[in-house]
Amino acid sequence: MSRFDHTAIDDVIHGRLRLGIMAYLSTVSPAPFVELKAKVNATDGNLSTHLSKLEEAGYVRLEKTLAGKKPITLVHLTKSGRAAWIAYLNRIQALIRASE
Amino acid sequence: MTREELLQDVAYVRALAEEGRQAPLLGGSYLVFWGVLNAIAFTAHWAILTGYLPYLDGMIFAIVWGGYGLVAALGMLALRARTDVKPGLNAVGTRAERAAWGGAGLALIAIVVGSLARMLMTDDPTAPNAIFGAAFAIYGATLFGVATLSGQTWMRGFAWLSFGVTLTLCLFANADWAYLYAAIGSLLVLAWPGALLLKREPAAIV
Repeated sequence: MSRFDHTAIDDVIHGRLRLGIMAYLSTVSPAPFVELKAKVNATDGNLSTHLSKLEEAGYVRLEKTLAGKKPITLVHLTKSGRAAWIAYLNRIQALIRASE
Repeated sequence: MTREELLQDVAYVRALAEEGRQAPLLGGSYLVFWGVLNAIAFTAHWAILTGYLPYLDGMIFAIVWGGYGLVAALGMLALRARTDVKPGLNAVGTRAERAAWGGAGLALIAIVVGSLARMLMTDDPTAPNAIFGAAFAIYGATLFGVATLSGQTWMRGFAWLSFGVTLTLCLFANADWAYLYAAIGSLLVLAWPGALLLKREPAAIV
């Protein structure tokens, strides 16, 4: 079997948009929904869909709160989300090494 | 999945993570506010000591520094409301900045309370002169720490400037002109870097 085993990658994370979400949250958490939307260049609906998948996996947590009088949604990276993110990066690094 | 696709994904991930890590700091407005407020209060204190403002049996000091405390409290409330809607509020550098200045604020309060207590207990009117030298040392240490943690290393120059102001103020703490010097120092090590940070600050997006 090839050492380049892409099936070992976490499918919940490995989608372009979900990758972007996880990457940004790894350095800015919690991030407001609108800030995240601007950073990953997504629409409201698209971002909501992908956040739901990450939330189902327990990687992010959504919090509805108020900033002054305005309602905002904050997206938190959870502990298991950070652990999954680190595991994902390790796996990607191993795959790249294996392909060299 | 090809190796090229993987490398593209890694580059994308890296760019986004870097954006968060290098998010602009949000403390500029606080630094400008405290720099200008300190400068006004220190200048007023110098004006009292040199006779440009009436002494009023010492009551003028209470008026100046009581007013300073009131404006400081109101200003902090207004600034907090302003920065709470900024993007990058929870970026690594911004969190480090908030924590460092929060700790610096507590240290300053402890120094002020201790010095004022010494003035009242020992009847030593020069006791508060110990405050500003220590304050500039704390400003310098905090600027240095924030510069390092946030990657905004240009701020280290202002930290060194603050250490220089500290040295002079500790040497000449009881000289009347030291308060005017501290006023200029506040503008240089707080308001100036604050203005530079403000120029880089992102607009609110919420």
